[in-house]
Amino acid sequence: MEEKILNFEPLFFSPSSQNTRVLCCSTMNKMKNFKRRFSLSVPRTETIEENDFTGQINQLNIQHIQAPTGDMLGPPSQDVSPVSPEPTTPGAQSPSHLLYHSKAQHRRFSMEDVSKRMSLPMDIRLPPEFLKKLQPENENSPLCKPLSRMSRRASLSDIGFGKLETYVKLGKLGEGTYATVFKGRSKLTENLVALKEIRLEHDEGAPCTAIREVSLLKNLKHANIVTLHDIIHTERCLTLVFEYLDSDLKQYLDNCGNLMSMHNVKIFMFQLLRGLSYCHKRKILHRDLKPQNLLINDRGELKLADFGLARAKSVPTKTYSNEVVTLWYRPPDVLLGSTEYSTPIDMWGVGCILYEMATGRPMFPGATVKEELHLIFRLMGTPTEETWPGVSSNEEFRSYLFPQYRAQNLINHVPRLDTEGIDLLCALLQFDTRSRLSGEAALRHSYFLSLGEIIHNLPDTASVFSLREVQLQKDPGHRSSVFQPLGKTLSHLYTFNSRWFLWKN
Amino acid sequence: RCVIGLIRMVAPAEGGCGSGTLHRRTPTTTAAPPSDRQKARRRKQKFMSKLCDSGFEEDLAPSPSPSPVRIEVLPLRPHAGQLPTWFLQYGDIGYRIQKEKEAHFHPCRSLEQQPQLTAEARCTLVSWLISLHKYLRLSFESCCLAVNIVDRFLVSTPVAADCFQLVGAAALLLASKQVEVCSPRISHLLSFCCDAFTKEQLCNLECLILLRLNFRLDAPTLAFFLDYYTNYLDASRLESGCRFPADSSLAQKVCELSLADYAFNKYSPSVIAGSALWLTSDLMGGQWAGELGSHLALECKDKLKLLVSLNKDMLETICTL
Repeated sequence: MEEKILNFEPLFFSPSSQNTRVLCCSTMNKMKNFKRRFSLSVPRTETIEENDFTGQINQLNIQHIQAPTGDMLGPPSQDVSPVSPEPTTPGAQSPSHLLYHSKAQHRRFSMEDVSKRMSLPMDIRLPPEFLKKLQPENENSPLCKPLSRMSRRASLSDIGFGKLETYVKLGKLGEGTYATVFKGRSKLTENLVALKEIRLEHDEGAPCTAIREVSLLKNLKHANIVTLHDIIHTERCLTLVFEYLDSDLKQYLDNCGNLMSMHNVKIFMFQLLRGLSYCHKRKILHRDLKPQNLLINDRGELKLADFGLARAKSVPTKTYSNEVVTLWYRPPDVLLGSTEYSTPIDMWGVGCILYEMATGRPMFPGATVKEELHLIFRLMGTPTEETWPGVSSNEEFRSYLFPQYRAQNLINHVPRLDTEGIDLLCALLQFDTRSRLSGEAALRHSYFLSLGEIIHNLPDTASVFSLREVQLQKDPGHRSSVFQPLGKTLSHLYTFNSRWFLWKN
Repeated sequence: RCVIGLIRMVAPAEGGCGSGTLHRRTPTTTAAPPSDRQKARRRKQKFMSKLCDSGFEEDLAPSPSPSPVRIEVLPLRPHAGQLPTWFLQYGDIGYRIQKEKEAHFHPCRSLEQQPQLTAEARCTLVSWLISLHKYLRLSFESCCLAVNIVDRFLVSTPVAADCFQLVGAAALLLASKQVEVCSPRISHLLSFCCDAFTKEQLCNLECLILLRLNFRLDAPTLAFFLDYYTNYLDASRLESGCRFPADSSLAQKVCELSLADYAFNKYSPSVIAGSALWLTSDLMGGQWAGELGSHLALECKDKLKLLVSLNKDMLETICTL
């Protein structure tokens, strides 16, 4: 012990050798750890730092030498410098050297390189004014100071983030629950976007649905959840810029004549559950799952959208604009007035959507709460204390006086769904919220075994189609474009072509 | 650092409420059924609210009048002793996610850059928020989130003392919009600030807070961690055959105290929640079923103990248990 310390003392602790020895004598055990930690960390970090530092200096020198020759930086020069500089010696800090260095940098600011260096998305198009702005700045400061916080902030808005001018409105897509949605194009990337305009002037300040949607979506980064690109705040309006997806599950079902390939049903189900369980882990509920809120792009990627109600503890029956909110996907516990705030609420809707994809018609299309409950109980059986503990003491349930229906065999209603699929459907449509399957458990259901094992290990932001073995098939009910109802956009034709293409390969 | 001017613009021209007129920590907050005398007093208080400084009386027992946020609790809720579904299905991973996120939403030393605000002013404001959220029957989560919003806003913007209360009201409004089914009405909220501010000022400040916080309101709260740890303790108790659930109400009281005390600003919500449960377990003479905390948790627990002993009403609550 003593020896070891003495051994490394002269190397590392020479100034404080007295202290360490005292410590060592008083508390042996602690010292052991202390010493180990010191011998491991302190001397090494010092040397590493030093090495790093010298390394950096060396690199800098190399850069200084190489930059003029054009080997390392910038594109293989179009101007193979006619006025070649004097060959610089290592460490030479002549003014001419600096001048040349700045010229080399100047040359680098092509559009591609800016986006590469700033690690911007590859498809981003920087406005020419912005590029112009960058260059004189660099000429003035050849030593390329790190950007200060202020200048970084300014440059983000310079390239058009957070500005309404960056987006061109193309046409109205619809009135949402509390907002108007437009199709648009980003001048920055030339990509299509959906612009959701939310009026901020309400009696009660900023609408809570908008606050929830923005604050929740900012934290949700997942391949199966719609991406919020940008937020633009003007005096009267808040505009949310979303990625644009040209279809939703409702339209998709319409377009394939309500006859989907069962393989595609499985892929859509998996994507829906993937996005949903990502939310549920974060204690975020969707609360308004329905085919219209599941957006689908031309690659067949399904994304959850419309998070306005996501955090609300009760689902309102009317929206701000007094539209009726559909009851079709609402679980019986909510219909009977439960205010329990938990994830099984979404899982019932997932079951209804599975049924709808497999049969092509909504499962419980009730118009009123009573009719909705009636449809549910007629198919699933009227709940008893056994299938739903506590239901007999629910006043609302008792007041309806439903007949005692027996549960029907689901296979007779969804003949196209295989046994595993039926099993999954039953597990999702449990009355008792505690026995209803969770999203995470549903992903592990044997119904999805045929999709392989790797699909479970995908990173959150990777699409399921990044796996070669996962591909959509042609939907049997899909009609050629001739039979498409009027008013469908060209983008839908594109959808079908690409799906056809995937199937062929 | 001349942002105060910006804030002053939303402050009332006639001076308004100084922080000194905010309410002190309420001595009794037990949920006793209101007696007729209390009802009478509340009626009178409603009448007096225009005259009184801050709009409401010192002790705010839950109001008997139906508040807009009242929800009927139906017998579909899980039975006592059962653990919540979310905890069973997603508890572990969900906890890990919140724990990771926590540091990004933790405002450290929120008063450091404030030229006018003191720790006492913050204590007064948070105490007001605590009693106000109970009065409005908002969840503890709303309250914790409101305090988190206030603190994070203070990091970004210097605030003048005379509109500190408006910041508190706007934060509570935002928090309840984020978390609750129904948020309190703006006019209702303003009446608790003795109508010193206008609706326009509150709405402007609401927008400013949203922008300064970049709409990031989804912060992991003290209430979340308290809830998770309570469930965790319950789970291990159920495993060992003990049927008594953890007493989280006392732990919640300790957490409330810590919210109001600036000295606990440096501890993250998870540390405070864990320490509070640990402390209550100690105080109740129970065996601590949770993991033995870190050095930081121990330090926090000791400070909480001191805080509890300084608050007489807390000691009284413990004695009655």
